[in-house]
Amino acid sequence: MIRARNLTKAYGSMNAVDGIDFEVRRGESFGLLGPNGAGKSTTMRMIASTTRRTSGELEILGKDPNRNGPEIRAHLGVVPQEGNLDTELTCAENLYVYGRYFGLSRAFLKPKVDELLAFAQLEEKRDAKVNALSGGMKRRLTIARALVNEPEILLLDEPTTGLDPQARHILWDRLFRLREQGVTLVTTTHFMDEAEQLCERLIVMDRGRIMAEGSPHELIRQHSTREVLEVRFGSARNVEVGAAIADIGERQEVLPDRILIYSDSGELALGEILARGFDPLTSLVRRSSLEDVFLRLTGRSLVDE
Amino acid sequence: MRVDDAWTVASKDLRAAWQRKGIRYGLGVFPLLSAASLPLVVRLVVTQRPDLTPAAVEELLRSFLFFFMIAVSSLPTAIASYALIGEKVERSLEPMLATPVSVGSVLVGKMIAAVVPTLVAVWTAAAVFMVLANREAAPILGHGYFPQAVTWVQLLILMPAAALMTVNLDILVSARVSDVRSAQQIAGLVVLPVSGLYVAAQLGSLALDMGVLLGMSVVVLAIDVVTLWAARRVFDREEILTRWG
Repeated sequence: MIRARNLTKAYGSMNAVDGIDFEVRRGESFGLLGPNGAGKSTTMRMIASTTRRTSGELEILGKDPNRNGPEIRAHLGVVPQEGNLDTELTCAENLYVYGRYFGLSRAFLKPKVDELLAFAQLEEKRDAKVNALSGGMKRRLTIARALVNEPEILLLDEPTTGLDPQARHILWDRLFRLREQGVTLVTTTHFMDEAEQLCERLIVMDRGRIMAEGSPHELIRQHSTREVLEVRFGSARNVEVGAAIADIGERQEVLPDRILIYSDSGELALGEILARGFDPLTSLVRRSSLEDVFLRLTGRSLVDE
Repeated sequence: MRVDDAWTVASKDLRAAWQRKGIRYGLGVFPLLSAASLPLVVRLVVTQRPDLTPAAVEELLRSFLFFFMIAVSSLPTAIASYALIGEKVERSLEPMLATPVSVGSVLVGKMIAAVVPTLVAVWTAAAVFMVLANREAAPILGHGYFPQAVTWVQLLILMPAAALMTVNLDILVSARVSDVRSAQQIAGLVVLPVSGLYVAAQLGSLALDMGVLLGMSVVVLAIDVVTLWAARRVFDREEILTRWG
């Protein structure tokens, strides 16, 4: 469905995307994970055929977006990062007008709008203005809008940023349904849990480059341990204690507020720390996540601290 | 550029514009007030100065009709600034640009949305003015003055060209400004030269005859071509998505 080779996008002397390679297969749920400024959104815009690449190759549905932009865009659904529904239109009008941009007929759109409002659980808000909707409702309407042309590929740029946990889970449920229907999903996110929930395969990006590629499970297995022990000794003592327990576990990260100890058994690692006479203020044993993978690969956290 | 796509963009913008009270009043009040009040001035002049020559009355009527040029040069900004800056601020141009719709269609659609209601409002008001002015000037002229050939030049060439010029300038301004009021103020400057011409006509320094109006039309159409070219360059899909805002 999508094939990129040495894909590069430069703004002046800065490469926002720096020679990346990846492929997305039909029906797959593919993710681009990375912090702000990693190049995810620029990559998405090139896939969406709204930004021209500077060099390299990019093929979407067998076509070159630099030459066949309109044909490619006709088969894509785009959910942008920022809410950009038409606030002067109702929910139904937003879907209808957007469908008209694809050249879809009124006869096609009338039942389609009803179907999409049902999909987004917004039937009761059909004639409500967008400003009357909650954040989660707006996001669902934006996704419904992106589905109006029955796209083969749905591009989701940070789909759940700014949503509360309940709204995120409702949205994930809608996206799972799309996956079941065979829609190819390409999602950018800086939320590890979202990437783990939504993506069968993903690339981890940082500073325009791909740091790693694989399924969430593979990435965690390759680049992290089964468990992580998080201990806090107070910001003034973390560095000192960190040095004293550096040999515990396979690896250690001393962060400003806590120490992460990577080990296949967090409980055993905690036992060793206590045995050496260090009593943490708090301790938590958890499974490794993509955040740990990212920290391992880049030495930085996914979310700016 | 597809006409269907342009019309879809235009009809959406028209629907959105119509929901704004300020735009509705602007399109209705200014032209219709002019249409009603200018004939009253004609009546006043005719009754106070029965010694005026028919040529002087005709000159007065021509200059009053030219007053509508001020409306046609200013009113499109109200709609265009919301359709461009408003969408820029709300980022609602982005989803449109993610569809197969060409940038040319978007641009033409927005021009239609700003120019058509303006022309409908101003032409309606001008028609009302001409009917009433014909009646008020009849005691001196002995016949209805409007419409003349020069009237058609003004209504059908100069006015649409001036409205288009304003919209093109709005597009150029919208690439640099992110505030509707600032855009309206900057684009509103186009009214100054038009007002200057009106004042010159009133003072008798400018005869609004066929030659002058055709000359003005050629100049405004030339400005249209240049500003349209510039607007098309500014209104680029990637430029809007990555640099606007």
